[in-house]
Amino acid sequence: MTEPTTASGTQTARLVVSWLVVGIPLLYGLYMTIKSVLPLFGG
Amino acid sequence: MALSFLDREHTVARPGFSRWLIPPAALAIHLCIGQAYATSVYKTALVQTFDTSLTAIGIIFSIAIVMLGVSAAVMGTWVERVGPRAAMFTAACFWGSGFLIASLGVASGQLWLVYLGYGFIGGIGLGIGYISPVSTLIKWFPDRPGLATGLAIMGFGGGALIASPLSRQLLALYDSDYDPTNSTSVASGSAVAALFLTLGIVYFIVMMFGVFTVKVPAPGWTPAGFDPAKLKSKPLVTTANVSAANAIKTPQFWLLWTVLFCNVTAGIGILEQASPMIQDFFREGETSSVAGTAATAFVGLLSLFNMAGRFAWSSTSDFLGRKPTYIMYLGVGMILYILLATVGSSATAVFVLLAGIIISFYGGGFATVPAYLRDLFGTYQVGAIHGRLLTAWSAAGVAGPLIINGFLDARGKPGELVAGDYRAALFTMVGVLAIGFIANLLIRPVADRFHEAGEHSDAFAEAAAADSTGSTTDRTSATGQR
Repeated sequence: MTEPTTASGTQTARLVVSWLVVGIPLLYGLYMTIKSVLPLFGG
Repeated sequence: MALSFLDREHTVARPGFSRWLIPPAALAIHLCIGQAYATSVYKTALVQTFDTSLTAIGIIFSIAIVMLGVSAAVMGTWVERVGPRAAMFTAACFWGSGFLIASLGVASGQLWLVYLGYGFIGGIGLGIGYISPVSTLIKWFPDRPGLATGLAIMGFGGGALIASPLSRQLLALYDSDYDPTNSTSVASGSAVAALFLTLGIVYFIVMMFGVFTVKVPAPGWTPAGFDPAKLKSKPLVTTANVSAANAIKTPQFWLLWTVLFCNVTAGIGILEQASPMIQDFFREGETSSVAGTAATAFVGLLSLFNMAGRFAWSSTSDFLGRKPTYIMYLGVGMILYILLATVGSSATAVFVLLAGIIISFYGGGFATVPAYLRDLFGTYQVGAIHGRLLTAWSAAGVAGPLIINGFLDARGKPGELVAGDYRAALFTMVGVLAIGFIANLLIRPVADRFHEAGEHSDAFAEAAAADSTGSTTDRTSATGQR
């Protein structure tokens, strides 16, 4: 009974780490771009 | 042996593997190669370092884009045969080493090394990297191919959003005199060399994350609840398969080539002149009501629309259907271009909104096309067919700027024009979109004579089976067994 739970836990952790590896740089890029876009709206 | 992780047995997913690990693997590749859109950051620094013209530096990026198209077209069948893991690894090696060679070129003052490194070798990495995850994503997401390819190809747009600010910050780190907030500040050559070295190493590591994460589904795998019979009921969606060699003999391939060419040509028309264009549209006399900083911000905003369009429109195409989606890109695109030419100068918000939606359609066109190819030609060699179709991008990369610059040069210098000077160029783009619109309407299902006989659906699995049969035969012969 423990094995499938561990496998599922590992899978979830892998999914979270994988999306963080690409998500964090993407969020950084989005943040920096939105910051640079603000002058267009008088910010 | 050292490269045994590229073997098929390490690439086929075991039961229980989550298909949602594949989009981040694909994104890891596309976010890295998307750097190709962020080269303007160090263009001026390279001009000063090599004491040459902007044109000579521009050649570096032209070589890279040409090599992208050529390698995607030529290497597509190889990518299908060796599978995504080996293809991504090759792309990482080319893209990473391209930066390292370019770094050496900048440090030693040898421009030809930059042409060879970033342009030629890096360009090959671009082409192989661009198509490497496409076929795999479509196989993992037969129920949502538009969503899957949209996620990956969104990464190519997102790569520039990351690389631009990151490069500025790294240049400031390597050159204390460089001010990233001052547009007139130029980084030193040694800072650019260090930047290339850093990017080469970082991109290689991130791409290797994609290499180790990507898997292909086991033969016969389908997602839970997916009914392949439903595909047959959708117009223009085939369950048959067409090889890459046969695909280019069909009118459907060339009609789709025309659709992509027209959509990209029209989009590049705006992207090419975005910054001076918004200032010219709101110019009264010598001065424009849009400041230089706001014009630069407008370019950043277009990048956001470009990236968002890739994901949003491609995902929507799973519900709308591919042909109606391109009817929207091209048909609504024509209306938007007419509005831009006629009422675009009425208010900044109107101009920004119209241009933004046009660019979202430009990005959407890139992201939706792999799913359109899958609908028409099946999954067998869809990555290789996609590679051949990308020559339309290279051609549009030449045609788009030629058209827009040709018209604008006749009126004066961009940055000193008024809205009316853009009208002829914009109406020409309406004509270009109309050609694409008609080409899309003419697309019909591929004739049966082009379909592969038998159950061809996975070129990678078939290549592995052929290799295994070959090695078994060799072993049998060697031991004298029959």
